Amino acid sequence: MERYRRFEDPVGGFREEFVQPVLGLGATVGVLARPMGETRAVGWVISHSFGLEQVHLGRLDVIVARALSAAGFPVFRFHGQGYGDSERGMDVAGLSSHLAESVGAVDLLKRVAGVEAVGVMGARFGGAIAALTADRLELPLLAMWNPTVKGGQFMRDFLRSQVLADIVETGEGGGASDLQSIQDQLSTAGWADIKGWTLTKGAHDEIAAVDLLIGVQRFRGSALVGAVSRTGTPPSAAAALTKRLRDLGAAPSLHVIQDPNAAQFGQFRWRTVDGGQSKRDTQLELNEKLAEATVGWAVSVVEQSRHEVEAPR
Amino acid sequence: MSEYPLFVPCEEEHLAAVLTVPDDAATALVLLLTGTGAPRSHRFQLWTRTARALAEHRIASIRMDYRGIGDSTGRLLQPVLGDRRLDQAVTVARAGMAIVGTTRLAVVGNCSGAIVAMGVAAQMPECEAAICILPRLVQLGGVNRAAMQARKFRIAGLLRRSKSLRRLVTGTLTGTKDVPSEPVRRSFEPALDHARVLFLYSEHDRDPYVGKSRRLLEQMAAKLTPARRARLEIETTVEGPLHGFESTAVQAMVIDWVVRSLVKIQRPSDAPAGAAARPKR
Repeated sequence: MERYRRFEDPVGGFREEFVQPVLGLGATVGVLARPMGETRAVGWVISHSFGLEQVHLGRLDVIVARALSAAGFPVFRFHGQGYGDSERGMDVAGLSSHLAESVGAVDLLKRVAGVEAVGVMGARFGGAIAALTADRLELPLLAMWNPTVKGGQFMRDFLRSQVLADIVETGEGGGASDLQSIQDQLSTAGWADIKGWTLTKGAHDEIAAVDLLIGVQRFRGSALVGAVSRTGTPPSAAAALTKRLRDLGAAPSLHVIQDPNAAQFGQFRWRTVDGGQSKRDTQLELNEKLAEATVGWAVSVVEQSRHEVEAPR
Repeated sequence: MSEYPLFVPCEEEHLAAVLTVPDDAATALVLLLTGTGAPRSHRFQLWTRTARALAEHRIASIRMDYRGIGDSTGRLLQPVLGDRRLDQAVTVARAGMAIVGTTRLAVVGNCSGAIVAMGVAAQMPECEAAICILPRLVQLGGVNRAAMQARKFRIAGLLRRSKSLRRLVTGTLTGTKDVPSEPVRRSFEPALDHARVLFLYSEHDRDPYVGKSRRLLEQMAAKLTPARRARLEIETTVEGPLHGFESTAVQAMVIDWVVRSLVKIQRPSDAPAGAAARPKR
């Protein structure tokens, strides 16, 4: 069975290995991707998003991990508690669990031979976790794609998805009263079923309190703020976060990728085609563009930093 | 219970999978399949939870990512129903059976994964049961396909508001003769030659495809020989909708129903001598 835990892709230029570390509250499954050729001293941890977005954005994480590995970077991705193959269920997933797991994953990657520095990255809520992890651990590198800057907005959208589902299902309801009933349920029962996701009051309150414009305070490294936009204009939240990072003394780079499906980023990405006979991944090409942009940025900042160290004084 | 993540070689690709084995010797292996786009653990860890519940009954399981999905290698832009996913599923099932050391197999799938499950049952004589959750069985004709596609466009709103137009379209969608899709045609009866095939639908799934599929299934069942008909079970639950498993109560019901069904089919006492086995390391 041991021989099935890993594989090599000589054409792609990377190899991958399943690992089963304890991260946060329990054991889980992760994948360590490493280059086939020369290995850089910088490794990356990918933090995934919250709720069902972990599934919808999961392939982005895989595509980016493999592209970075092919470019020489070791990359670690994993299922947080409450997701995928992890030991624990949805009821433990929240800001605290995501942060603890991200910090644990950084620690794991630091122990990998040849890794001297670690950067963190993620999309949507995973981007917020990456930012908070980089800030807490004062890491040198951070990359985010459409990061969740305000947790309150993220949670409101999360709850609204249930309200919308109810409207579609029953043709009734909608509006502030329904959001209030979910809030009431969170307060009285301690949890609510949000389109199949077990959202606890603790997770709701913690996430709703996130504000990267206040919460990120110590980060001074290089950052990629990736923005997916239908028009080519960066979302205001991404622009505000870029300014915040610059004000802190960090080196942020705002990179906009234009895509007609930008509004669906993080949502169900399979569109029914051929009158329901097939489905098409509407995000695959965007994922590949994001991977290319991330690798380009990562290589440039790491090379630049190496040249600065090697330059004669 | 122990879990082993694996990359199973399949032609030039590697398919990611997780094998779950009970602490005691496994009586059988269950292959867990998802519909289009979902990773091996499924939404809300549905198959992870199912695998762990099965392990409590001494049933091992393997859940897998198709090519281009989850942690598997490959690039997948638009899968075609009944495409090479069947070969991938058979490859992973055989790898799982070899590792666990069992000759007994069952397969569970939802949506398009249920069609693959039926294909696995048809192709592998050692497969004793296929559980098919909410599969779309029909092959739509050109008019029906166009009508389905139009539901997504502005014209759909106009149709919904107009009683006469709505009647016309509904009549078109329900009045034409439905035929099974090619993968269903290929595997339905061959699977029933040796395997029990269980279908689960919900009264609450209002997708016209589902209604058509349920009607077609009844028609297909009526034409079966008595021996094949005896292996077919069709259940329609009052809970739901099943689509997307977007309710914690539905998730719990599905896990419980799948586990109960498989335990009933694969009771350890039914196992042939020597079938119980431990995984090979």
